[in-house]
Amino acid sequence: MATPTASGLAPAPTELAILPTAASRRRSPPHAWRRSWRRQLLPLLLLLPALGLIGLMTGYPLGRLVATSFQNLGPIQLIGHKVVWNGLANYRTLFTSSNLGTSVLQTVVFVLACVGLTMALGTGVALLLRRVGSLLRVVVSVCMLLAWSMPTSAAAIVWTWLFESEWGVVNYMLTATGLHFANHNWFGSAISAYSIITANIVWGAIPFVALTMYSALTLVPRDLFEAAAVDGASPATTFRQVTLPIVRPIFVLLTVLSIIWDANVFNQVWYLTQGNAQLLNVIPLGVWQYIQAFSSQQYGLGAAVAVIMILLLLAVTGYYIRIMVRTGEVQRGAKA
Amino acid sequence: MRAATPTLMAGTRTSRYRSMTWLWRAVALVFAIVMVFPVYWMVNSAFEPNSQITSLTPSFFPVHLTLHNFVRAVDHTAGTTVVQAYFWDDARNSLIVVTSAVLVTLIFAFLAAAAISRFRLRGASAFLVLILVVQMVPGTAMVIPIFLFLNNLHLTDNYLGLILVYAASTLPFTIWALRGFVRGVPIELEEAAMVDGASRFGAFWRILFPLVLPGLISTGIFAFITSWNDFLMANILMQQNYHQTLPVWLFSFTTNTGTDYGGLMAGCTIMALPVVIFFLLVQRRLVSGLTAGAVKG
Amino acid sequence: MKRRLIAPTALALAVATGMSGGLTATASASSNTLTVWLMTGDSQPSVYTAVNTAFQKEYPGWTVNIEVQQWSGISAKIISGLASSSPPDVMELGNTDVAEFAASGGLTNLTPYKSQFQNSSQWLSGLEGPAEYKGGLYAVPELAGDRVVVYNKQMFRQAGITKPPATLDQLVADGAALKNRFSNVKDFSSLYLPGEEWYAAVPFLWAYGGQIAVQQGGKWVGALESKASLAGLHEFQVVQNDMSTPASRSTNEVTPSDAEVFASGKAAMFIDGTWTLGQIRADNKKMAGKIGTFILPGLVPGKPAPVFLGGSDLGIAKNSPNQAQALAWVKLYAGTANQLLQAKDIGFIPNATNVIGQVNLTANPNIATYFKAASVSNFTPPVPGWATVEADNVMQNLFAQLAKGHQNVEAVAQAYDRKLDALLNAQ
Repeated sequence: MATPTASGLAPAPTELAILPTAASRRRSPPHAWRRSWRRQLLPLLLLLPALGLIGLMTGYPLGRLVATSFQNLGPIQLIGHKVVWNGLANYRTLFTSSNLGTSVLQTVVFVLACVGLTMALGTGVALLLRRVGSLLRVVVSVCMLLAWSMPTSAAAIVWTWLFESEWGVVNYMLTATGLHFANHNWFGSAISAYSIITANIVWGAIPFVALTMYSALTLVPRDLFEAAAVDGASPATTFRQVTLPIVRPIFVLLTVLSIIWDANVFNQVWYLTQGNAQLLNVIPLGVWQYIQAFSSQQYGLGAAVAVIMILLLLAVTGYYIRIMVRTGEVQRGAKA
Repeated sequence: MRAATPTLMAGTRTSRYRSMTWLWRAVALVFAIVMVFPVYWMVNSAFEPNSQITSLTPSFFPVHLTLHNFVRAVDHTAGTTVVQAYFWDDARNSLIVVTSAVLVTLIFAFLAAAAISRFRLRGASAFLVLILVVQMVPGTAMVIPIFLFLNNLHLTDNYLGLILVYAASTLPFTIWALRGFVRGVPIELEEAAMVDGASRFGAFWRILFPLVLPGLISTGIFAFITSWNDFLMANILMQQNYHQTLPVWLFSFTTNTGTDYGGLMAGCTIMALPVVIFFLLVQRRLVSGLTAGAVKG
Repeated sequence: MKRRLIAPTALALAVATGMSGGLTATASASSNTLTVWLMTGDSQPSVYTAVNTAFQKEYPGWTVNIEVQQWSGISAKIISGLASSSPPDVMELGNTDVAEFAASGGLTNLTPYKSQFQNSSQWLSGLEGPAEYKGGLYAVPELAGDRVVVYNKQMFRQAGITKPPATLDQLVADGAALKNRFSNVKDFSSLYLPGEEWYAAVPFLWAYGGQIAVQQGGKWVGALESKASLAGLHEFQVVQNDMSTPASRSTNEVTPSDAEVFASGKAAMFIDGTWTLGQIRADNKKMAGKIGTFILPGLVPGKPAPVFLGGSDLGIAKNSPNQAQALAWVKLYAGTANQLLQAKDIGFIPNATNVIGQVNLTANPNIATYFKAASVSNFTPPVPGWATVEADNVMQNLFAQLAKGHQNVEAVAQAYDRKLDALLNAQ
């Protein structure tokens, strides 16, 4: 499945949920066809194509993946079309492996760093775009769009060159400014490698977040700013009391999506460490999953890692998802 | 009040405001350079001979300017490996598969977003949570299950199979995002049309659809980029060389004896082009559409 | 109105299905079609179409469908291909990967047919060795490539060296003479030897009779700590540290490109494949007449170090319904006629020593060195776990560790033996 990777995101459309307070008081359409069964049937029919496609192409394979996590599935079973159930053996293997703890811990720290930096910098850039003239705004936007349209694999290759120890441009420029970075190996340790990977992911994800947040900020009615200015509110107060409440839903959505996408990151780690991830001990869950499934050819174990990953993500994002659902329900209630 | 505000602000903090403005400009410029530098480096490398790209001294400008990498990338008579001969086939496949997938995604997502936002549908929240959850599944873990499933349906090595995979993988996010756009359009507009005798669908098609068009475009870009850059699924699902897509073609620059970095960077540049052009075309419309929606809201 | 909204959906689906409809017919493994997967950058149309033509004489009415595959993600693709309802009939496999797929049960055991293949008694050990798994033959040698020492004749002359070194000791002595003569060149390497270029490094180990791993009571154990291996690893460390630049200790042969270092005059020798010869001339046209080659020498004159043979084998899918046809195609590809054509057209080394002898290379002495070197080749442990060793870049890191010299050779060898023990016996 083509899971969107952090740098492969689209400029997001704005979640306008909170906006139309005036428009929310809606009249019921005066039509006779609003009988109760039709009221459920019609939307269900509209929902059916999407639901059907997701169910078929994601739901069913996902079911098979979960089933696989309770099987001993190696190349022999796969090629011979043999199904060998082994109960909880895969999970037992994982939970007794010292790598699971390392991997979970690495994933948590790594995702926190990526998402924190992405959201902070993305929002900062969005605010910055409102402060500069239209020419500079276009320049910055185009630069972001260019960065964002670069294929992840190409970006990773170029980044390995930039941070190459012998002749990389980064060491070259750092040395030129008088720092001791000649021949510095950025991929020599797990922490250093993680820093470059994080920088690469944040670089790739900023355009999406910044442009989305910028769109969201344009939704803040100008009158509110003006009113705040008249009241003598400081910029910080204005941001906290006027801007933040309006952009909060989209901010929460972006954060949740970023957590999900960054936890699943595979391409960037794999390319940047040049297949050396395991030796460097850089094993976030998305990469460990791949190593278990494809390098070791133990698809059952790989599936079990994937299931653990989904459960962890659910636990982490559950709180926010509940908030989003609740605000959604409030909106819908107001509509009727 | 509108006229009064700027003067009010100007009186109190003109000079500080100005120096801050210059600071913001400088910050914006530095940020823009950092963002665009890797892209620049890709294009720069695409125009340099291979010997220069991995040389000991980096050159910031393509001093040995050459188009040879591009020629090698697209011209099968100059290609060094067989797969590069399929550039035009692969480009056509990519365009067909990705645009079809984007169309399917947008239509399905529009219907779903309308269903969720315009009706009091039981279980709508459950549906929204569900489609958020399916995004948590790691893509690499789904490769084998999806391959086996499509293989049973005889949909491997087939446009339709890949189109369905891409549409399904981009649908969840597209629905979430489009839902916001639909909500931004006042329902009164559709109701007015229905009072004038339009059916519910007529109102969707003639009123709602044009108004959420900017939203469709921006979510469409998301779906486009995600599918456009996919290697994993395309490589496994499409077997014949002339059925493959551009990301698979891109890997033909890496052989057993090394990587043709110049060709690879030229290929990446070619692949990024449609996205950039698409962006630049719709960008103005996108922003104005968003702002217009906001004012109307 | 309803119709108009549905129309685009229907259209999109119709377009999609319509197009796929056209493709399904050609895509399905219809009868009388042999599907062959070849790797990108290896075999070329001029070679395989000749094989296909010969094959069609044997099986009239059959078509051969050549599908060129990418190296990236190939393991997953082969496994899923083998598991699918219409597997490829013939597959090119990297020689060090054969054991992995043989162990998976997806390949046909070719042992009963071995005598039917031309030259099978004289196949290159570097290709045949890895194709054998638990005593059975699971793939057939397809093509080979190796690495020899490329040197700058002019520099050798200027340093007073009249002929290529015949022993490793002579190599080190020549290195000192070159360093002395070109002390004015900044970052000069007498032999540019990047620490991670393990294909170039492992012959040092083999020259002393050492091994990466050996079989002991049904298990594979790392043999880097053996006396012979340690001597070889030590020799590599000395050569690398004395003859190459400090910067090269933790780099590979690609970035920066070894051929470019050589072409720029910063090195008098380097070790790499035939493909780098053209690269040198492209980088620096003045090098054209100055390039010479020799096989890395061993301990005594006339007994060069065994080279690492890279290359591919051809395997047949066990689930393929076209066993006889697949076998016929592989026989033609691995046969003398095609191996000679392949050597002539693409420059790959033929799969058997007697065929190498038939290639006329008098006009190209440098290529001749590569072909000659292949006769004395060694191979990596033929176990499924070796694929993991390669995927994790274990060998690259082993030699880079030695080059960096933070720990003594014995400690590095011990650490990597334990790593090999674990990876090679993984179930």
